[in-house]
Amino acid sequence: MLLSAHGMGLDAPPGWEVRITRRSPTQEEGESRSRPVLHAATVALPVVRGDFGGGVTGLLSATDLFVSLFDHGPDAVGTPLFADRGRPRPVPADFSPNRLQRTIPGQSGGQWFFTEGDRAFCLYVVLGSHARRVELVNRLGGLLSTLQLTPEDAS
Amino acid sequence: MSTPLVDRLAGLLAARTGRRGFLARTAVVGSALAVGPVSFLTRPGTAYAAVCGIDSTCSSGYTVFCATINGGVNRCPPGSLVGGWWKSDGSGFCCGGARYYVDCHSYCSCGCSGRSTFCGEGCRACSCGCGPTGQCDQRKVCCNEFRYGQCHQDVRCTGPVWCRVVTCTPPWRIPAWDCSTTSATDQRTGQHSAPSLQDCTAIGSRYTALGGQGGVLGEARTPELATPARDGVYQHFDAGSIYLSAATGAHEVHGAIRETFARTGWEAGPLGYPVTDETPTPDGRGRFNHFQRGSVYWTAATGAFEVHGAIRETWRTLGWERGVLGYPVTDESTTPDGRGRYNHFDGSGGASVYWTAETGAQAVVGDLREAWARTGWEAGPLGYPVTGPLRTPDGAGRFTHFERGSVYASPATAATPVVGAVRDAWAASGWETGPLGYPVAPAVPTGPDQARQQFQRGVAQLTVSTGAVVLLPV
Repeated sequence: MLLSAHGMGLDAPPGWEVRITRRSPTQEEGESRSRPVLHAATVALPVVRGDFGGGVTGLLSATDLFVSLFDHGPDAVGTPLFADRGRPRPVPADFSPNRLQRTIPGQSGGQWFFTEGDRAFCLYVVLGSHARRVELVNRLGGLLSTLQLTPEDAS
Repeated sequence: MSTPLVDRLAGLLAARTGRRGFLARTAVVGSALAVGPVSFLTRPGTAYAAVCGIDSTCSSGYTVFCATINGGVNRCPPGSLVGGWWKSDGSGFCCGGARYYVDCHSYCSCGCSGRSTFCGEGCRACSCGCGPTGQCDQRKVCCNEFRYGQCHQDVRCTGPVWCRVVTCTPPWRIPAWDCSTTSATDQRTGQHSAPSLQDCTAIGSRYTALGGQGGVLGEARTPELATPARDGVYQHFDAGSIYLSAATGAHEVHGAIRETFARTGWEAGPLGYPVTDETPTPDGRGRFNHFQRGSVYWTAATGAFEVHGAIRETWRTLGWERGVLGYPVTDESTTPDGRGRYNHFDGSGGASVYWTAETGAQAVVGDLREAWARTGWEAGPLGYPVTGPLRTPDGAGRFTHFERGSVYASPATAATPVVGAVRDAWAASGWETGPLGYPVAPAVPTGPDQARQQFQRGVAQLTVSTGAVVLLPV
C-alpha cells in the first residue's frame, strides 16, 4: 500500500512498517525547522524514536532492516555534502559495522547524502546483520524501488 | 584500532568489571553508595551500570562526550570540525530545556573515494578507541562513521565522530559551527551523561543566557573550577570568564575589563567577585563591571582600569564617570612615599582621587589639580588633599584644601597655591573675602630669608626662618 506525505512516498512490500512524519513546529525553538522524515523498518516502529533510528535499531534482529530518509530541505541543495544527484542504489559493499549512528554489535550501516529535484536528503540504512548484508540489501532494494520523491508542496 | 576489535574488548571489559574491581577504580561509586547502599551492593549487575547510567560503556555504541577526553572542556578537539547536530527535549543539563548534541568529526588529510563521505583510517586525526577507564563515560572515541549533516555542508569528506559537544544554545546560532536550522531529534540520548557535565549549573545557565558558544564569551577553555580559596567557582572561555560565589551569583567578565581583573589578581585581588555582567555606561562611551569591592571601567580612549575601596566611594559620590572625574585612566596605585593611594581620571582638565588613612579619599580636579601638580603633587609643599573641590561662599571661586595649604581659583585669577604660614595668615584674615582677595601668583623668594606672595589686593610678606607673615593690603 502506497504511503505518501510531504513529498515522500513508499509502496512498501509486505513485512515493512512505514511512517512519514514531520515534527510539530511547536516542538522546535525559534527559527529551527523540522523537516519530513521517512522511517521504514521490518519491526514495529516505536512511537518515540530518533530521526536516525534511536529506539529502533536496538530492536532489530539479524534479519531486520531500518531505513531513514531525512529531508535536509532546499537550503542544503548545491552544497558539496549534497553534491550527488539522484538517489543512491545501495550495494552490499557500501555497508560496514562502523557506519552506524549507534554501533550495535553485528549490525551494519550505510549513509548517503544526495539531491533529487530541489530537495536534499540523507538516506541512512541499518542492516540487522552485517554477515547477512547481501540478502538484506536485496530486500532493501525492493523497498527503495518504490520510493517516490516529489516537490514537498505537491503532497 | 579497528571498530570490531574495540567492540569485542569493550564488551569483555564491561562484563568483567565486577563491583569489587570497579569499587577500587572509580570515585563515582560513592554516589551510588550514598543513594542506595543496600540495593547497590545486593542487586545483580555491574557497578558501572549502577553508577554511570544508560549507554555509558564503550559497547553501548554511542560516542563519548568531548569533555571526557578533553580535560573536562566541552568543545571539539583541535583537528576536528562540527558535522551535525541533534537534540533531546526536557534535559536536566539544560534546566529542562532542549539539550543539543554536536558531533565533532575528525578532519581528513586526504579525500574520500567514490560516493563515500568518510576518509580512510590513515587520513584521520584520531583513531578508534574507548573513553578513559575508571570514570563514567567510556563511550566510543573516533569510531562511528555517521554524520547528521547540518553543519559545514561545504565540507563533503570527514573522518568519524571523534566526540560530541553538548550545548543548551541552538547550534545554528553559533556562527563558527556553520549549522543549518534543520532539526533532528533523539530523545534517548537525553539521559546520557558524563562526570564533567553537570546538570543546570549557575555558570552553565548564565553562559546559555549570554548566547553560549555563539555569545560574547565564545567556547569553553576550562571546565568549571573551584577558585583557590574554594569560596567560588569559575570557568574560562575563549573571550571571557564567568565567576560565581554564593554572595554574588554568576557574572561574566570579558575583553579588556577581564584583563584588568586578571592583572589585579582575579577574585583574590582587591576587586573580589563580579556582581554585574559587563554593562554599557549611560553615555554610550564606556563599559563597566562592578565587583564586590571595586569597579573596572573601560572606554576605547582610556582603556580599562580598576577603581576600588574609598577612592571608588568618592568617585561614586561625585557621579561616577558622568561626574567631574570622568573615566579612570590608571588602576589604583601607591604614591612614592608609600603613605597614599590614588587613581587618575580623564575628567576635563585632568582629575585624580588621592587617599591616605589620615585624609580619606579626596578628589582634585581641573586647574586646581594642575596648580597642585606644579608644586610636586603630594610630595610638594601642599601635601595630600583634605577636601574635594569646593566653592567659595560667594559661589564665584573654587578651592581645594591640602594638608599644608590650599589652591584657590576665581574667574579673575588662575588657580594658585597658598602654602604654610602664608595660608594660615590669609585664612585668619578672612580668606578670599578678607582684604587681600584671591591669590594671583605663588610665593616667590625675595631675599635670603624672605618670600612674598601677590594677591588681588595686596601682598603677603613671609620671613621663612620664623614663619612670620605680614599682610599688606593695597
